[in-house]
Amino acid sequence: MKLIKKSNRNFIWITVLVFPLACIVLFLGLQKISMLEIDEKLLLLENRITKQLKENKTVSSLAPLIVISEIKNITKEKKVWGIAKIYDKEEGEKDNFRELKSYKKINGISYEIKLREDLIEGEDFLFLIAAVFFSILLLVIFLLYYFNKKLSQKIWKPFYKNLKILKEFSLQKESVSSFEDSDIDEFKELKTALEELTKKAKTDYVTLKEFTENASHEIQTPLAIISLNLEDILQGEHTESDYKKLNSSMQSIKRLSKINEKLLLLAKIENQQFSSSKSIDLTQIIKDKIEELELLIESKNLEIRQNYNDDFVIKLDPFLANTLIINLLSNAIKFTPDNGLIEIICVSDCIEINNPCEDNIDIKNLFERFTKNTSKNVPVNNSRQNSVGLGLAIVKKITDVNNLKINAVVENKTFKIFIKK
Amino acid sequence: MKILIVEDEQELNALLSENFKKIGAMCLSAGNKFEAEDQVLKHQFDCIILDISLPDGSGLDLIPIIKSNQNNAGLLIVSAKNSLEDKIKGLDLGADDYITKPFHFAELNSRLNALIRRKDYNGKEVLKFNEITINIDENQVYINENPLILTKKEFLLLNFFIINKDRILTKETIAEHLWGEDIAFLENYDFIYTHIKNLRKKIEILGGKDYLKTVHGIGYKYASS
Repeated sequence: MKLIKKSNRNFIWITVLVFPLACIVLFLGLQKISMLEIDEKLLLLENRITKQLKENKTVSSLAPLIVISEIKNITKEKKVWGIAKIYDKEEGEKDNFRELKSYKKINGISYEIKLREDLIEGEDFLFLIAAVFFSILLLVIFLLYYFNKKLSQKIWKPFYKNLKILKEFSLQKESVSSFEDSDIDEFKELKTALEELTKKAKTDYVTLKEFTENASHEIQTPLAIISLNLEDILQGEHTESDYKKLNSSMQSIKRLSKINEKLLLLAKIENQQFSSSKSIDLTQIIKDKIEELELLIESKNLEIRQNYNDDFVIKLDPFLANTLIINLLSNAIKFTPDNGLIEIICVSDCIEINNPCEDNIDIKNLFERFTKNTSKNVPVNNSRQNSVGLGLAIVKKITDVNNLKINAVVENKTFKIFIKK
Repeated sequence: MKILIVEDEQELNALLSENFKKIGAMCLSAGNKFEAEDQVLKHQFDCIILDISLPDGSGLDLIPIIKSNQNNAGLLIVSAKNSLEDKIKGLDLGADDYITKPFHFAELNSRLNALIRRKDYNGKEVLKFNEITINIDENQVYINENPLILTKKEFLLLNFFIINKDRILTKETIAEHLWGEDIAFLENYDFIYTHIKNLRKKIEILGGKDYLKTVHGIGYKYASS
């Protein structure tokens, strides 16, 4: 719900509750005031009549408004206020009258003076007030709606514009479009905060990027020194066990450097630093890579069956496309036992790579970093132990960033991985 | 052969210069851009090994200066960043090759060798090792004047062995040289054995000697004696 709708709704609810209350209070107040006014008028009239009677002038009755009658002796003069319901012939209905009964002795004659004044009809009165209030209510709601619409177009314009800029904000982009100013304090404050935030995010991002790259650099150089020193030592005469130790140290350094490189690659993909997308047919890349990997395939005596019914053309950075395919293929080759069969199928927007596997592959964590499927059946010296455990994490990251879907299943001792557009 | 090593990490600089002295080159060192510029203006080199990240700026900035002051220096960029942009930028500016840290001496020597050959002899130089002659330009090997027919990988393998003769080469180093880092790291390296076996056989058929020694299961050495 939009803020304006929400605040309007609350406003309308309050109005709807308050208006009837105001109606009642107004009605009662007006009634009270008119009553006081009538009472005053009646008293004044009574005074005049008394004066007339004192001067022995005849005062004619005017029923039902003025009724003067002589009565037997009264002991005490008094005034009685009341409300009388009297049938009015003129109007043909019973009307409410304010009534003042005054008992007086004037020139030795006792009088009963009944003075009445028509009261404003309660229901009519209430109805009028309600009608006026209701029309005001409608008018308010209508105006509120109308002006808010205008306002949201005008006052909220900077807000929506800034929101749009924020939505399109990307750390990769060199420049940020400048946020729109507003004469509303809250929006002004928001604008300043946004400017500071985006600026800070940018600088932080650049710092982090530089840090990752520098860290990678700082790590690679000592690794180079260690590796070159070991290589130098290797050239001398050693016992067989020392040769093995040197070799394994060199391999470990290579691995360390690979991990470093791959983590950097992951970070770069995450930061979408690969943005030169071109139309690429993945099936073509698979064919090329299979050629490159032929040696590995031959050495394990694997059969690769390729079956492409369709192309798989997508927009992707060429480097990422190569990385994606090489990781998937090398994974398939790595985990297929000797003399096994790898099947690659491409049918309408889906590439499927099948290879034999053991049952106990942990599919759930397959795409997590540093997940290795090393089962008990694998000999310790096998290269699987040597894997970095980042290949499928990289694959997953590439597909995620480029709006491709990837999933894997194990069926009948076959590992199947699917890439879909 | 005169080589300039531009590398800010002193130890690495010393290691490289020691390595090049072993293969008979004369080495000068520079630890930053300023020193490197100085050397480039003073001397003529056959080859310059240039690290991109230097304390006083990017080594890439040095390339135009090198290009305008050196007549025939091969330029090999060494970088810790395996970054495609840097690579492309460096090669665009006129560098001849690009190598990423960490690397093997064998790989560096091989790259340097190819680079110098390209520069000095336009690739026409022949590589000789006893009865083996390699004509790089024609991709042809002769054993006692008899042509030896090799596959592309076998050719590269023999070339790599001869350039790095008397040096122990681990299987990883060989695999990396032949198939590139990414593919080489995939699997165990036993598959290079097939290639080596085939190469040995082909040389022996033509009456060539088998100079290849196995080193304790970790690698090979092409021994001249």
